[in-house]
Amino acid sequence: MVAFGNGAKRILNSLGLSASEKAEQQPQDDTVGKTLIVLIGASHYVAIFSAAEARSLPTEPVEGGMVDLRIFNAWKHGLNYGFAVPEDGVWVLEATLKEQLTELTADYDRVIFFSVFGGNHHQVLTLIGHERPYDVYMPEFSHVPLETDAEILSRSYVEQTLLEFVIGPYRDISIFLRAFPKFEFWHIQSPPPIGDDTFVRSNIDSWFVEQMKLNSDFPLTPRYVRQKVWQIHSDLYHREGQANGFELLPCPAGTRDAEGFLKPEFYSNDATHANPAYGELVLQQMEQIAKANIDSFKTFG
Amino acid sequence: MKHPYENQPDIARWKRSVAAVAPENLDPLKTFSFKVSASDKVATAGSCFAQHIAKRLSASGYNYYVTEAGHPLASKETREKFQYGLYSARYGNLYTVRQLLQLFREAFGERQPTETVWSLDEKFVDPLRPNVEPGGFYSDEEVQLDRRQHLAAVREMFETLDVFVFTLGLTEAWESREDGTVFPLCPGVHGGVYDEGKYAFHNFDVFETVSDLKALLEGLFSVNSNAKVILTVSPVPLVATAEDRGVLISTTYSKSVLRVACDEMKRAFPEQVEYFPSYEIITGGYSRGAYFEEDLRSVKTEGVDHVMRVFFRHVTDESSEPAVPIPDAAEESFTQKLNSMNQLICEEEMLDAASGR
Repeated sequence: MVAFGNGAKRILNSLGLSASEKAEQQPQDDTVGKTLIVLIGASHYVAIFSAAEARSLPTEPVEGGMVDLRIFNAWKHGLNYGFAVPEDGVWVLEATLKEQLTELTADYDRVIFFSVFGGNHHQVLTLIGHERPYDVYMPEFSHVPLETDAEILSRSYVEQTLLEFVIGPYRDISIFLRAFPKFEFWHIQSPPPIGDDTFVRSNIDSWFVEQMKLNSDFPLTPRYVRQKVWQIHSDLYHREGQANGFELLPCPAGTRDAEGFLKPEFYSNDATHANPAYGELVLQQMEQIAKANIDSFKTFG
Repeated sequence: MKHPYENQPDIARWKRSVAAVAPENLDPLKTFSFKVSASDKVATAGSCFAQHIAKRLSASGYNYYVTEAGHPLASKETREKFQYGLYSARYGNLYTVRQLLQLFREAFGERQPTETVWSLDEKFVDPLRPNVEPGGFYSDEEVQLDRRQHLAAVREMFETLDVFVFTLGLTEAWESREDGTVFPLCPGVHGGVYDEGKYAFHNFDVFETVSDLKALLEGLFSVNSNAKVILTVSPVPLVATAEDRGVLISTTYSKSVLRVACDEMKRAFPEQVEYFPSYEIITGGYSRGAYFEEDLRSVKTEGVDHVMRVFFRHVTDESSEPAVPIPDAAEESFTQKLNSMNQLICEEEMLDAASGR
C-alpha cells in the first residue's frame, strides 16, 4: 500500500480516494496565477491525450484562461524518444526538448509536469504466466489465498526485479527534475490491471505475443498476482518520489472494481492500457491540482 | 627395517614435503579415498571460506548442486544479492557444526526453534539466516513462508546430493537460553535485541563438536546412504572472540577443535568421509603468511588458487587438467581483487562494523 506523507495526503485525498478522505480536502487557494500543465512520457499518455482531444479545446491560450495543457507527442517518435542524453558523464535532458520546454513554460506563473514514463513494466514482468508459478505474500491481500503450488517470492525480491526495469523511467524523471527544479512534478500511477482474463487473453498486445513467441493457449499470471505486482510497482514510484521530490498521482476514484481491478468501462482495446474515459478522470485530477479547468490543449515535440 | 619411519614416503617428511618445496607447489595430500566426477552433484555449506569452493566448483564446470536457486523472474545479479546460489540452499553462512545440525533436524521435522523472527528497524529477519534478505523481509509471515520453502530445499539437497563439502568455521556462538537454538550472529548485531536473560555465549568444546558432527553425518547417511562428505576447516581467523582472552588464542582453540572433529569423522566413517586440508595450505608456516591479505584474515586469491589446485588434483577425476592454473606474475587488477573480496558475504565481519572501528 502506498504510504503517503502528511503533506501529500491532503491533496491526494481530493484527487481520487474515498468519500471520507475527500471530506478532508483543504480549502482551495485561487491566487495561483496562470498555469501550464505538461504531460510527458510513454504509452499511457494516449488515454489522456484522447480525452483532452475529445474536449475540443482551443489549441492556443485563451483570453482570461487559467490553465493550458501541453502533451508531448510521444507517438510521433515511435514511443522511443531519447529524453536522456549523456553529457560529461551524467544524463541530461536532450537539448532541443529542453529549449522547447524552456520557451513553452516561460510565460507561466506555475508549471506542473505530469509523467507517464515507463508505466507498463509490471505488465512486462507479470502478464504472461511463468513456467514456474509464483506468488507474493502481501498483508493487504490477506483476503486472497496464495496461489496453490506457487513459489512464494518475497516482496523485496519482486521490488528488486522491478527496479532493474524502472531504472530507465527513474532516469527520465530525474533529468526533468534537474532541468526544471522549480516546477512541480507528478508521476501518474499506471492504471490498475484488468482482472478479466478472457479480455486480457483476447486483447493482449501483439508485442507480448511476438516477444514471447506465444501460442494461443499461453498461460496468464493469476490476476491477483498481477494486481500485487502492480501495487509493488506503484509503491516503488511513490518511494522514489519521496526520495527525489515528486509525487505519485493515484489512479482516479471510481475506476477500480470491488476487487481492485480496473472497471470494464475503462478498458481500452488492449490488455494493458486504460481508455479515454479513464484519461478524462485523470484530466480532472490534473485540474484539481491546478485548481482551475484546462482552457487550451495542444501537443508539442 | 630399523624403525617405522624408515620406509615412509617423502610426503610424510617435513623437510622433503614442506621445507624443501617451493611454496606454490606444496601439496600436503597423500591420498583421497574417492573422486568427484563432473556429473556428481556437489553441495556446499559452511563458513565464509566455503563460498570460494562453491564459486570455483561452479566456474570449473563441476556440477555445483543448488536446490534453492531463486526464481528466474529475477536477474542473476538480483538472485546473487539475495544470496541464492551462494550455497546449495539459501542458508547463508553456517559457522558452527551445531548450526548445520539444527538446520538438518528442522528440515526433517525433528526440531522447531521457538524464536522464528527478529525485527530489524521496520522490517523482519530470519534469526537463523539474518542476512539472506537485503534490508529484511516486510512481514513476520513472509519470513515464515520463505523459511518453509527454504527447509524444503534443504531437505531436497540432503536427500539427493552426491558429495557434500562442509567447511567448519567457528566454535563460538550465541544461543537461546530457552531452547538452545544457535544463531549465526549475536542477537542485536543485525536484527533482534540482545538480552542477557534470553541469550548466552557458548564456545563448543571438542566433545560437543564431535558429537554434533557425528549426529549430522549419521542423519545425512540415513536419508542419503550414497552421500560422500568432504570436510574442510576454514583458515580464516575469528574476527573477534567473546571469551575473556586474546582473539589469537581463541582462534587457535576453535580451529583445533574443528580440526580434531574432522579427523574423528574420518575415523568414524572411513568410506564416506574425507578431510581436505584447506586450513593447512593457507595457514601453514611454509607460506610465511603470504596467503593472507593485509588484515591477516582475508585469504588472497593466490591462496584460494593453491587450495583449489590441490583440490582438483586429488579430489576430482580430471587430475591431468588442473581447472585453476598456477597464477603467473601478472598482478590481478585492483578491481578484480576488490570484487573477489567483496563478493564474499561474511556476517562475522559485522561485529567489527558494529563496534564502529
